[in-house]
Amino acid sequence: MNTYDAIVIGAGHNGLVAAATLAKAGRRVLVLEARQHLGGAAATKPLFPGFRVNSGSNEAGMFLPEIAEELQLDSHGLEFYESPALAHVVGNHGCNLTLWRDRKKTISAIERLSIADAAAFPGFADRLDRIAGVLRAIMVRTPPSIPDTQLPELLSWARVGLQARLLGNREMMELLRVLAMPVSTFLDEHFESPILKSALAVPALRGSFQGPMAAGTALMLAFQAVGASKGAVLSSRFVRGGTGRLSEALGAAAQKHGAEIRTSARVAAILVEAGKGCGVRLADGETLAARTLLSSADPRTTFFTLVGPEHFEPAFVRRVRHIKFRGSTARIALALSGLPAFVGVEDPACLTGHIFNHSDVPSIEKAYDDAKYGRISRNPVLDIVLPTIGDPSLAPDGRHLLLADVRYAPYDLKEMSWELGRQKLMALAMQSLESIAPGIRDLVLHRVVITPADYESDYGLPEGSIHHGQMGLDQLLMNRPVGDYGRYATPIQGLYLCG
Amino acid sequence: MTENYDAIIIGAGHNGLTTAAYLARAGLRVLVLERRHLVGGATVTEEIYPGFRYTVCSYVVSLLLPEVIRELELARHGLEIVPEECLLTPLPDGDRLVLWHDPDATHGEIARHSVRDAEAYRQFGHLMYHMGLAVRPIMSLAPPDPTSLSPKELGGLLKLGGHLAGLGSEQFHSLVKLMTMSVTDFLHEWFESEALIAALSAAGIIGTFMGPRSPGSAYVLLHHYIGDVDGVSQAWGFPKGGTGSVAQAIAAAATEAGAEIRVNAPVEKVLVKNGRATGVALENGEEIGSRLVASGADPKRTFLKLLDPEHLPGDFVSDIRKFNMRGSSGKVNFALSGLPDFTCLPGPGPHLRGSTSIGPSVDYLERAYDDAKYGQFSRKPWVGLVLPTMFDPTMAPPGMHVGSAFVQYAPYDLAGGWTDAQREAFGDAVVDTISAYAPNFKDLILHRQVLTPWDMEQTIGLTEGNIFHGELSLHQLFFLRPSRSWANYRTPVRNFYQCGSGAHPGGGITGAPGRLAALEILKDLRR
Repeated sequence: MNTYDAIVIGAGHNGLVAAATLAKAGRRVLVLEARQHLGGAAATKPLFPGFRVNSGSNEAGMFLPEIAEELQLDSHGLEFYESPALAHVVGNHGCNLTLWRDRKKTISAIERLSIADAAAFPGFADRLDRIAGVLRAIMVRTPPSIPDTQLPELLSWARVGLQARLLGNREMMELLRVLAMPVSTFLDEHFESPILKSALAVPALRGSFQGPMAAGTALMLAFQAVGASKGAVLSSRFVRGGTGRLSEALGAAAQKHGAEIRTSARVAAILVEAGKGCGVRLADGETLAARTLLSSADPRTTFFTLVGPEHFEPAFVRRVRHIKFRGSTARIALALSGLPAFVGVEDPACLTGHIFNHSDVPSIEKAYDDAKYGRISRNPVLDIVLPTIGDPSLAPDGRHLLLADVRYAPYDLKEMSWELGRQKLMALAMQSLESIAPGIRDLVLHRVVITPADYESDYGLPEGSIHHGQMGLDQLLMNRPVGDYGRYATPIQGLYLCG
Repeated sequence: MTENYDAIIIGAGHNGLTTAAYLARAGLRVLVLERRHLVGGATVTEEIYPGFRYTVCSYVVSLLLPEVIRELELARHGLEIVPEECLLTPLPDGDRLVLWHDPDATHGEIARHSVRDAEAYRQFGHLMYHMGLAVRPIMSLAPPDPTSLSPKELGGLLKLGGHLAGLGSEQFHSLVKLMTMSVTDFLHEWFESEALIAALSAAGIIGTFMGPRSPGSAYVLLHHYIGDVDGVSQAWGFPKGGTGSVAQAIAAAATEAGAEIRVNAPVEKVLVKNGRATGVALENGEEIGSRLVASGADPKRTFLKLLDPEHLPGDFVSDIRKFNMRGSSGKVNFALSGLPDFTCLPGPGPHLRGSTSIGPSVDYLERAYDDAKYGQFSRKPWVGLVLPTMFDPTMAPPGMHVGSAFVQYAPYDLAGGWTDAQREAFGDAVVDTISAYAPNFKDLILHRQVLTPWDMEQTIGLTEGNIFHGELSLHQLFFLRPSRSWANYRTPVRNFYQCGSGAHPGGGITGAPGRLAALEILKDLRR
């Protein structure tokens, strides 16, 4: 039996970052991936002939730049590019709004809707930027083990506290206040234009099954702003060649540092002896030993499927059982014979970021209302990208790709099975698309839907939760994945979470 | 104008009276000025229909601080709280769920719905009891300023941190969950029975503009458990004579200690000279001087109406403007010729000596919220019905009864505005909702008084009709209530204080903000 210092379960981008970092530090690392390719849900695949389609995230604005630097990912073929547009809302009656990476352009676009909002925008953007700065400092740290905080970590967190203090007392309190707010209230405090508020509300919905009127969604907007370039409120950083290239570059970096990566190697069980993780058993029966095991699978799969609940205290099992996953986003991908014409859009540069179809916050909330009772939103919220405008390499010449996150598509669908729901969702999404881009139907060469049920069955994401558990106030920081175990270690000695 | 008083309290709501009583007992010359013809503010009992005394705005007492009861000797001043015997939730299929005061009876009742839940409910009660204990000290603590490095504030923070660290892991994480989750999600971690989850979820929406699935609503549930702490006597109860008798008792304690209370004395302005409050001007032009002034009115009324904005920093004014009020509750009071007869438990019985919650499922509550989100009153509202005459028969003529219905949701910002027709339609919706479970209810009604948030603003002076003087949402609690840096009962104007529910720990008949304000004032006076 081969022995390794560390075995990493899953070659999603987080598993690969862990593997590359450990390998770089001189450890013997083995990465085991169930599927044939790297990237997990953040892969890019030729779903249609000649097209490269992202199955998960369409951009990588949140990917920490220091990791790319440390692992020299550019030397492994990783290239980011930033689109000029951040978000474009196709409004009613051709009243559209584009938020640009260039703040001046954004302000003049807002000016056409509301002079007051244009005046308020710089202050808002700066405030969001400062809050995002504090979140950034939090993101790169292991959460503290409250309530049993130790001195060294207290000192590390004191630096975050200091950074928060540098905001000034007022801003620090503002941070605390904003984090707990509904994004709708936060935006109402700054702006009057419904379409501007809508453009900023949609990004705050990524990752949780909540509407814009739910407390904690303002935090999610700030979280999205973490990936924004200086002065821009939202991120628009794409990976050339598709998001999957990120994982390919990470894989190459890990291998360069000596890590071994095996694809088509499904881990069936984590082997535990006397409370210690000692290795894994693959689906084909092979066993592999290592002193340290890292699972990038979600906590439910890691603890219940791979380890087995019998190895844990009942209180821990209960906490893991209570993690909320609640996938509520579906993906549609359309291969198009040409660039669709969106209502009110003349300059295609407007379409290089995200494109939204809702022009006021209450209509977004209504889409959530449907899902709350177990239905697919009748007027779904589309978060669309046309990556082929900025990166023609993703499609054959002159062809385009449209990828849209469709909200809300509740995993726990009550009106029908997801087998039928799949068709209904595509029909609803096409109807919405047709209303903002008339004639788009005729451009469609191929189409595919990935429902939350598909994300679960094909990508191993429980309840189709692309974030391995809902993002929200109650499931962040030291409570992620569960209280007392927010620091990557688990009750099994030698087993860590890295997803 | 002469300086006749040490302290003037604006508003004789129960918190203003509490501040007055504490200050008077400390030897200050105190004057309480009340706009209306009677004391109590939103905590009043009034004979609106001849022979029937309504608890006009409030309906039960769950949170009145034992310290206040003890220190002001409210029992001696006539306060008698009768514990409620149950929480009855009638169900659409003719069944019901009754949570009795008696744990064994409750166990048997829940077991009819789910044996597992019956067992879990005991543990849940245990946890919530301890969570209540854990939070209680925070209710009696003036919020420290987390951004300050002054020894005093750091001391407060350390005390708070020490308290939280002392909770232990299980309770600490439960507290975090209660602070961040929705009430329904929190309850789903414990229970499977829809009836039980709905019955308990209702406590998470009272007085708030949130649905049972809104994050933050679990805190409101906890807020209601705080009252359970000092044993059974203070648990959800009903004061003899209605909630107005709480205010009466506190007023009696204040008066006995030497405070003067003037009704029909509406304050127009707080007088400020060189950044210090010097007294007040009444609407009739009279000016009264005082060393300090405290306002029991809500933050918007206090800082945007009673004070000239020129006396306040712009940042602070903008914070107060942003403070969410959004009243979402209505109140319907009934004079009844007899007792309602519930289909699920026919006839009279102990189930009528408690609260009846009409909200049989979480979806029912959530749909009620959906209506309000878009500016409609709930077509099928949640109704919390209490029959005060079951606790104190003297509140109505012999054999007759008073019904007190607290209703969610009735948004202040009704689409098209509140008109007489809309008010009556809202009243009808409440009557229909109750009648669906007690078919004789409609025929018992001799008189009804419908109060929308708009009415509460007009009559009681609650801005936007918010009974808590501002939403109890996460971003408006503790050191953010009502504004960062000014959550310690002081204000940017020296010698001017806030003592109402717009300050920590917020609304409900607690006496807590009034007491804490008095203690802070006495600290400043070094008494």
